[in-house]
Amino acid sequence: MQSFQNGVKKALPVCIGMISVGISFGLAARQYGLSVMEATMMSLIVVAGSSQFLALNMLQQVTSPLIIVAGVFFINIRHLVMSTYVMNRLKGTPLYKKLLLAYVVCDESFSLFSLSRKQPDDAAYLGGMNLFLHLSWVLGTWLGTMLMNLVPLRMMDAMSVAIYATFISMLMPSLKESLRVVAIVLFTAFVNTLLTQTMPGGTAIVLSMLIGAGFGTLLPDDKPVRGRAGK
Amino acid sequence: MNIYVLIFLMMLVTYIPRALPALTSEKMKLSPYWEKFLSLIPYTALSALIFPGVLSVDPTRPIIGVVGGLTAAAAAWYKLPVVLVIALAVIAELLLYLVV
Repeated sequence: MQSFQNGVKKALPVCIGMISVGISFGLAARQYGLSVMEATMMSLIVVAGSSQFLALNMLQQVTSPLIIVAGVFFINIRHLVMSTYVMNRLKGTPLYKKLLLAYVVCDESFSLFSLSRKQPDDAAYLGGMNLFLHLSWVLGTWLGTMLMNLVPLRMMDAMSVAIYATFISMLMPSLKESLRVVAIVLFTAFVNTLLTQTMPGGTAIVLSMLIGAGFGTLLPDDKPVRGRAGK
Repeated sequence: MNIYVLIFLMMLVTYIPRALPALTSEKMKLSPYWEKFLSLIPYTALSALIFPGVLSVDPTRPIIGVVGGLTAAAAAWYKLPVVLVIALAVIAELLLYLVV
């Protein structure tokens, strides 16, 4: 129970980011002609922000749903790698719990979970995060569908930075602590910038993640740097 | 096509990759190399999610994303709470919209 509460506490600030992006999605979904119910159900059932935006876009242009589904698959394949990390840490947890937790292994819950210390009950910890992140995503979407025509376009654009700001604040502590992480992060950003030119974004992201991690294993550990700073 | 059929299919192709590792993880015995590889994924994932995506916050004006991202980075550097980091990044962009 303690671990569950810790997870909730850890997730709450990020819920603000989830709600902001959810609002953008809800607004966009209404503009693309989805009903309040359809948009909210999509967030409740799919739980994958970027692919939901992609689906909205494609619904306008593509006639075959199979092409949309293929696009969604490729943009979300990165979660296979993220889930591998998560499940490796949850070894020993009953399968039904792992299958339930897997439902909400998204960018946000993965980042929060992977960058926080091991808990007495990691499954409950992730469960607390997942529950509140999922609820925020659905709540944000619903709010967005209600706000249609009330929010100026620029406000929406400005709000879409929320998710990046969330990711940046998750990453910053590790950057300050380790030169090795700085090198890995810069390298990955560079690779992703190149790959994004030549292939769909989702595929570029998962390839960059893997290439970046492969690059990182070549670098020496830099614990001494931390020691030199006297911390 | 019924939108709910699409939602269901989207759920399937999203959930299956998320669930597969749950089925295989107990049998998976990772060598130290792959343990290390996996331990770096959080950093590379965040990096790839942030860049270059942040540049297209406003698809027509990359400067908006640059300023928002840098503001967030500065706020995070000083260990401000996530909520404030988000708020400052949004405010910086809204201010920028007044001049560009």
